[in-house]
Amino acid sequence: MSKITTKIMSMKEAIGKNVKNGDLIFLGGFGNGMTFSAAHEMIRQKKRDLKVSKCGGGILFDQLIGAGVTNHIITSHCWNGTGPQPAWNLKRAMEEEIPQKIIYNEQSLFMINMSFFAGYMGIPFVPIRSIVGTGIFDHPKEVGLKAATVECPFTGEEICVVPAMNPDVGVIQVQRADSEGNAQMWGLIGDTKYGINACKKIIVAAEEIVDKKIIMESPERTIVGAHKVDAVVHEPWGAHPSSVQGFYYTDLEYRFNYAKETKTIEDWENWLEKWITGVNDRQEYLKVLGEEKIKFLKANSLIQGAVDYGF
Amino acid sequence: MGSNDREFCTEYTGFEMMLVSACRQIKNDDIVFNAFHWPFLAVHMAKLLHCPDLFSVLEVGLFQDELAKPNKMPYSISDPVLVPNSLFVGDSIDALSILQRGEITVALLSTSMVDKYGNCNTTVIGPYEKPIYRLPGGGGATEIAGLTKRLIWLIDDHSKGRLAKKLDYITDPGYLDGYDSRLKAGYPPDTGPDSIITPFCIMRFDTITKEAFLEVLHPNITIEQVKENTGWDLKIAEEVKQIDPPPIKEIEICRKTMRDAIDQYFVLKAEWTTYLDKD
Repeated sequence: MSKITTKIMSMKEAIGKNVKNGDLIFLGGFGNGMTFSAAHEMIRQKKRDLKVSKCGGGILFDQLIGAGVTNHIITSHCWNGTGPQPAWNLKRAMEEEIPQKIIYNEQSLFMINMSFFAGYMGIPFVPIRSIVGTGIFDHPKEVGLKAATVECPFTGEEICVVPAMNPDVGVIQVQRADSEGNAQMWGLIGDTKYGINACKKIIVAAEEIVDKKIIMESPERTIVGAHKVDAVVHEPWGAHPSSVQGFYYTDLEYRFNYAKETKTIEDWENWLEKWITGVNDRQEYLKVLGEEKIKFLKANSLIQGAVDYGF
Repeated sequence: MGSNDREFCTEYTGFEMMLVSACRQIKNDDIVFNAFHWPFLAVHMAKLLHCPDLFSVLEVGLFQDELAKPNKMPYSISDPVLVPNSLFVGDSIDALSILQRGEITVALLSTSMVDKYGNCNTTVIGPYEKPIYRLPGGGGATEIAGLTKRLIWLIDDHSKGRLAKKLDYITDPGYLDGYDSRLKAGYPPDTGPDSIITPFCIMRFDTITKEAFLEVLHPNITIEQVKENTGWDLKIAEEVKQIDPPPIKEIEICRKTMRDAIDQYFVLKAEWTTYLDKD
């Protein structure tokens, strides 16, 4: 990519240019920094047959399933964590094939993290000790990526191995990035650093776009470097209803109500129209959310931990 | 010691008794893997009652030995309130590697269905690809069950459906088919289920067959009640202990924790919260 071409673009452009039907997608964030804005744009652009992967699918995967965007999820858990309550679109798809039949490739949390880690390292597989004897190990081939066992060449012991995952496209929602895509995330990262670096194309959405100098002041917070990044989106509140440390708290009320507001297919269609297809972008979504709620969720500032980088 | 340390509570729910029994299994010098849902409440109670120094690991990649401040219940393992009160924040791989290195001494897990060998199913009822009921999936529970030294299952409803004769799917490994089958599958020898705690009782596992048996009855519960509501022909210890009702202090902490959880949108069934508003 030419240095002159800017990577800064809208979420609409970023998803339009980089996500193709049928792609394997990684969506970052473990509770914190979940990529709701990007997922909503995939729904508005009517992407189809996406395979989506992340450590815990939550209501984000539930929305992609309900909107017919994905027919194949790769995750360790998919439910509404607030309550906890069922993820109704997941249940409808699995139990009644509404809106379509989907594959849930269930992995253990360690398995999916280590699959991303192998992808991050550029190696074909990694060993783990945990899943032999479970249903996760015995999945039929049609379910996709699955584990195997190999004999350790050093000790002779039989050990489980999990395959590398290198998604076609990855999206993360971080606190800040520069215009080239050097992206910084702090707080709860979960699978985000290894997941995003395993991806072939990368979209960085950030609460703030900052000067490169700011990135260089605390480089250990950078989770992905500009050389790998294809698009940079300035997207404040892009992770709502999840949290972004230092910016806003989780919208528990919204997540709690999501369960009752999506319980039937009619309820879900109304919800989809109100929050996703009835708005054009994140700015319009925030108008639906309302100023009062935004004020309520905004984080109280807590700046701490200055250190001496002297040498 | 306060005056209410030895005073017994006369009115409490089975759910409260389950949480009290669960939190008593945790020791101050344990390294606990603190997992979401009911274990979160039991670990919180232990910290307030008898484990002031307890070191916890959370699957999101966070270590802590103090409660989050302000002193409230985090809504989940990924609550940002946890971060500025923690000792370490990294990746999920950091947390899961601590487990794989054998450093976690105890973990509690709440689950949908358990069998007599302590295997659990939180995945499907019916066939995997076309389930009758789809459940959430295991998340980190598969590793926690596979690699923790003392694993404690919490079942919030003691019924034949939940303590099941047969599972349609094993999400989390217990002793698999019993005897040495867990060892043969490659799990470390010093790991595995220690107990199953329900509103009625505590079950433990036979050291040879690895089958669960009834060891401790909660107050006012009978052996017959437990047997009738268990999905397999439950074995009974030669001498079943019946424990005393919980001291008022434990129940007070339990109810405070439950109220905090409700404030954080945890859904607690009405039958579990009968006495919450009476204090």
